[in-house]
Amino acid sequence: MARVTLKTLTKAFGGAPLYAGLDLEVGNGEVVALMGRSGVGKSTLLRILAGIDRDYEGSATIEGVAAAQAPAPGFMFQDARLLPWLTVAQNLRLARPALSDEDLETRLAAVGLGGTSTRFPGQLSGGMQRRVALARAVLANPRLLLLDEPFASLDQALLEEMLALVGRTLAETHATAVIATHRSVEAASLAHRVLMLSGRPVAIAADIRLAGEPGARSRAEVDAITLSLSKDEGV
Amino acid sequence: MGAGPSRWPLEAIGALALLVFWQALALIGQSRVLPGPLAVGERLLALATTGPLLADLAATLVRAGFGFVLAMGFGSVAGYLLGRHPNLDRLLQPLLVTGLNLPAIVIAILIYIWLGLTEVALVLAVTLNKLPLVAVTLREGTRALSTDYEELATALRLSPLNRLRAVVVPQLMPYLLAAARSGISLIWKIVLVFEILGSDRGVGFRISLYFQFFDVAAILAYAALFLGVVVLIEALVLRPIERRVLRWRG
Repeated sequence: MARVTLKTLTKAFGGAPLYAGLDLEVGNGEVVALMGRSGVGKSTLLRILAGIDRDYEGSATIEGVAAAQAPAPGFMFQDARLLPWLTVAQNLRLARPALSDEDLETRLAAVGLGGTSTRFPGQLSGGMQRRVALARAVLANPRLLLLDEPFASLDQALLEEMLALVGRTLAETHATAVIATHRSVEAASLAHRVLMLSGRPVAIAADIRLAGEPGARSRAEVDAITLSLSKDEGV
Repeated sequence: MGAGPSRWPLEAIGALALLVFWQALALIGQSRVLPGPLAVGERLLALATTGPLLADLAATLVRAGFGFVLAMGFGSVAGYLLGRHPNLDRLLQPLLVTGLNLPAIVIAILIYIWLGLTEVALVLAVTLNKLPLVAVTLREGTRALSTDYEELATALRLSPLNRLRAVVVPQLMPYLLAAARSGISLIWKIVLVFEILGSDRGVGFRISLYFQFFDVAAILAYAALFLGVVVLIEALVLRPIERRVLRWRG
């Protein structure tokens, strides 16, 4: 678990200010969903927290350490982003080189992919690739998980399967997590808190603490929260 | 690439047709300066068993091998750096253009004048001829590196060595193979020319000697051997490497 802090974050994008003194705090073990329309700056925030984007002013820290110097977070990109020339096992070991064969198989089985370690990503379906990406993101037991639209372009069946899988993973790891999403149901299923981002420069239009623990919410509760968030999205 | 099941039989038919055509020409021509493949084969066997052919081939192979390794090594590093640093690329552009366009023979003559007719001079001249081509190929490959995979490497905090091994080199592999393939054919040809110019052994030197006697059978015997070695390198070295490193493409 890791505390995430953004202080007076300032960054320009395409000549216009994207963030102008943005403040944000995510507590230990908290799962925060960033919502807002496409292009509002959700992904950029995740990239800053992951140490990928270092072109900003202000501070972005993980447990008090500058994001770029902090230990590797678990990062799930919008696409699976597996290296196509490496096998599934080799892709996973990028995140944790010393992982034994047995542990690797266990981790793969946990995402329903037992027996695929010697295959190349091109031999897997899109859904299977996403699951490998999820396994890779949590493989090193990171204290911070960053999920960038992890369910984008998934069909309904796969979406529900992945939601359940990510939900289980978050509950098991107790990691702090920041999820960029534009779908209320994802936030309602996974998050403790939802931040609605809007405007340019980006402002936090609404900071909503959701009732109950994400993993313990009933289907009806998730539906009710989803409905309520959908209304808030218009903020 | 694209080694389908019918590839080898078709290639064999093509090669056989060429040999038949050559033999027919020789039969029609009936000339000492156009021996057929059978006569060349006989001469090849004689030169290999009792003549200097194998020693010459060894000398040329060593020279070409050194030139190839040096040009690929330094050219790859240079190309990667040029692709990574646009300012360095601009700074070295005149040097690169000079290297690409200076006739091979000019480079060889100048190196021979400056360093003398030595093995080092020959290998250096070969290396300098091939190096700019490797550098340009690898520069293009480096420019085409995926920023998506760079981001992944950063998020995973890969060490520079792991980043190079797992992310960069595999993406450059098609460019390295292209440079190697064109390098092998080019370096062979250059080595021969340079051997004619300033060496006392090797395939090129021997061919120039036979040229003075108009001994076409011996010239073609050397050329055939030469061709055989290139085909062997392609079949036994390049293709297996290519199959292995590109096997993920299915």
